[in-house]
Amino acid sequence: MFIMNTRLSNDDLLKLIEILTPKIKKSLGNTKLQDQEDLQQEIKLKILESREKLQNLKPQDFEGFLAQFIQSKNDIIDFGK
Amino acid sequence: MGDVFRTPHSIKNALDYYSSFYDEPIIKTFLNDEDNYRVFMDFYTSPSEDNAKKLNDTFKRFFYKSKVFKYLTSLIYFYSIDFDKRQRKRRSRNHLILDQPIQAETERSLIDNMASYTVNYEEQIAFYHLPTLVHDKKLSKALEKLTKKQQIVLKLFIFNGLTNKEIADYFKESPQNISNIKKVLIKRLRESLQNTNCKGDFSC
Repeated sequence: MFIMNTRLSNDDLLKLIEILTPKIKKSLGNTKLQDQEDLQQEIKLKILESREKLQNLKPQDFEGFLAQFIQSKNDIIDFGK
Repeated sequence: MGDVFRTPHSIKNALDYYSSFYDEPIIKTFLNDEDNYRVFMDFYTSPSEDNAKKLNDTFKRFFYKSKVFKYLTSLIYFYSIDFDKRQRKRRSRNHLILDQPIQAETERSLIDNMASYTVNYEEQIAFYHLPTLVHDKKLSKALEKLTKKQQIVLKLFIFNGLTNKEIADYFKESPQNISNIKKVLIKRLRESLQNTNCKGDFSC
């Protein structure tokens, strides 16, 4: 599996497509039989195009997530001591 | 973010204080993984800077991965819906109107210019031999086991895109009967594929 990276390589994206193939196949049922091949191709293209979007996803680390959770509880307490 | 905690110990204190943190879906799935759980326990039992960094990195990677998949799975789903909508719209807007004049001044319509053409199904049916058209050997064999009539129904349905009713007209039978034939032939195909231990998986 790909490692978190600021740059996603083509191989990473292709691997993602491969992993998601069952999901793509399932979504083909949403359109007519005659259009399914087109749709499959377009979805794959769309995934390749979403490289930038994926690179810009900002995951939080554990600390950050915990801090956000606490903030959402509207209740910031200093645990420094 | 992050400066709420001055020391790794303060993270641990916060965790103890907010036990509902473990109910967060992402935390639940994160800790369900054995390796992640070990990293977390390492930190929890000895909250050092090192262990905190390890936990942070592991979580970040996990979080990123889940975000990517979340994004892509919803992209796939919504794109497919959207795609279908677009195709429908395109079809409804661009009807092929046969009897409208080709040009404004002329009386002739598209249909006048077309040669009359009736599809000769007999010829087409005789032309294709289904089992030779598929690459998969097992599927090909399974197709060969179908009766002649089943093969014809399958051809008309797939190649000519006929509806049950149209196929019924061709055979001069009832649409219900055609539907029945189709059901039986799919069952037979499935059975003969399963008998070769393929379980409907066309790749083997």
